[in-house]
Amino acid sequence: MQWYLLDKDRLRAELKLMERNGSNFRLCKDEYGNILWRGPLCIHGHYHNDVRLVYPENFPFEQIKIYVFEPMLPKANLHVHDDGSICPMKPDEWSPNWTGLAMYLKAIEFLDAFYTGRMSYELPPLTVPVYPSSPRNGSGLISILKEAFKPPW
Amino acid sequence: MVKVRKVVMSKNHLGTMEKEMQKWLPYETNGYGFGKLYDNGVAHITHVCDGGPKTERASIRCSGDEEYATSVKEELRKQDPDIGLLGEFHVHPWNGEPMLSNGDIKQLMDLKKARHWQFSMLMTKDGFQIWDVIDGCAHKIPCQIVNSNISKEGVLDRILKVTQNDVLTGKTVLIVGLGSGGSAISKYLGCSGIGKFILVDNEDLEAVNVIRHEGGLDDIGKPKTEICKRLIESHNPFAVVECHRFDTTNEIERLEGLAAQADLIIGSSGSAKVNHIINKISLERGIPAVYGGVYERATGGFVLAVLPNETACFNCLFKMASEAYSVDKEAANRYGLSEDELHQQQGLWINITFPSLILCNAALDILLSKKLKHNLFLYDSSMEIRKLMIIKSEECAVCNKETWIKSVSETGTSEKSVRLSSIRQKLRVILKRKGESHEH
Repeated sequence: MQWYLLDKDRLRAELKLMERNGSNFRLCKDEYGNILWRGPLCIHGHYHNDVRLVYPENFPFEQIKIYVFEPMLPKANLHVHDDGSICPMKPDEWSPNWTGLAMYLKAIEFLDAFYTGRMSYELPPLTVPVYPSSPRNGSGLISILKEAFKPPW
Repeated sequence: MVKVRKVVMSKNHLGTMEKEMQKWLPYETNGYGFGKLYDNGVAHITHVCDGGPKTERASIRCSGDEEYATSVKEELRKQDPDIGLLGEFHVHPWNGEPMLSNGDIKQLMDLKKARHWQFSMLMTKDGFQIWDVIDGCAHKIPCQIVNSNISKEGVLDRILKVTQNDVLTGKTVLIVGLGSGGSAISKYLGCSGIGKFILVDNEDLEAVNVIRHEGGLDDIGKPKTEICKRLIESHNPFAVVECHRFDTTNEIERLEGLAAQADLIIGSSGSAKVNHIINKISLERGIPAVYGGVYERATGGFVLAVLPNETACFNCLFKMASEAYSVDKEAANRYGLSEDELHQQQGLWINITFPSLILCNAALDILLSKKLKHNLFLYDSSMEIRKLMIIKSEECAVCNKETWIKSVSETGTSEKSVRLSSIRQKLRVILKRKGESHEH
């Protein structure tokens, strides 16, 4: 059974996080019954009309998948797959604490690394991302990312 | 009501049945098996006798002498009051698979009305099989033939005084992942007198595994579950071992079903994804779990014991555990390898076995309801073991879900959940505070 039918509290938290942190993604459902966030992203002038964050059936114990469409990313390295999905983290890095919002930010981070040529054959090391240290301050990470990439929203 | 899950008998008893078959050819014949039935479903046949003087034999039918069987049982009970009549053996004097006929099934169903545990040991010229009848259908019962006459007390003699065998016999352990660590864990826990094991793995042994696995060259191509089953049973035939071959990440409900039967779950797959699933099941069902892993060429390892809703869960310690599976770039450079190369689990089996043994100890403590003084054990190749007691994390989205949801809903950000801090830094903090009783 789909996670969002079993865990309404978590679903509400996921919705709240995305709404409050101002993405222009909207919630949809795919043909398999999975729910997903879907919307455009523009990173360094590269516009993708359809970026999807798909919650798996066993979320949050399984990783949210990110797809980049319209246009799909060129298969420049092993982190970009044929089906349009991208690999923003090592599979073992996933934890149930990750949220749709976290993956949304991860998608931005991935596209930034991709378009600025900072993406190597290897995945970005786990220790590199340096986020603000004030964990309860809601403006921290979002504002920094917004500042850095100046997306169109 | 104990259900017979496995029969243990010696080659001598099988030989007696074969002699009976030869003696009465071409007629069908029968006899009786006596022994003990243990709480974990193991039936140990200690004595076998012929069908008795009133046995009627014909080419396609045979009826035994129940009175004779009862008198033999009474005689045996004078020596050991726990011995009972376990089943009837039955010979079909022709070639082919030993299959119960419809008449045999009906007869066994009638016998089971009086003795629910009764089973049928069927022999043909080509084979031997033990059968039970459940809801009118014949079901095979696994049988372990051992070389000599043994007793449970004899097999467990050297550990009886150091373990509470009466407690462990009634326990069931689910082991998920039977690689280098998992195979060693299955062997050592198998030698502890635990009554039942459920083994889960979806791989066959490959040549590359042999150098650090309990399975050897002769086992290449065999399922790891079967290899570990053989290993456990070769040390303790009085353990019941179930094998399940499937990918736990694709069949979570199946894993949940197996976990429901277990008193303890062991996560030895080396996969954080699998461990997160085990963590979910463990917390939802209140089943304790122990996780183990190694890192950096197995020069270090961890063991985390989780008592649901009491101590830190796997996700509370995720950053620490994640390091066990995802080696960092710095470490890779130090070894002159790429991250991918290093991630291919280089390491000596000796160094993998150390954390496995620590894990076995923690598992036994939990099974014996001993109070856990520590729930996290960190091992490094300098033979040093650091022991810590880690409390539940307030930021855990699994074992402290309500608080976590409240926190992210109020602050409107999951910033904390995406913050990636180095495990090394975290470990340093923990080790610095080692003197304190509770840390996370």
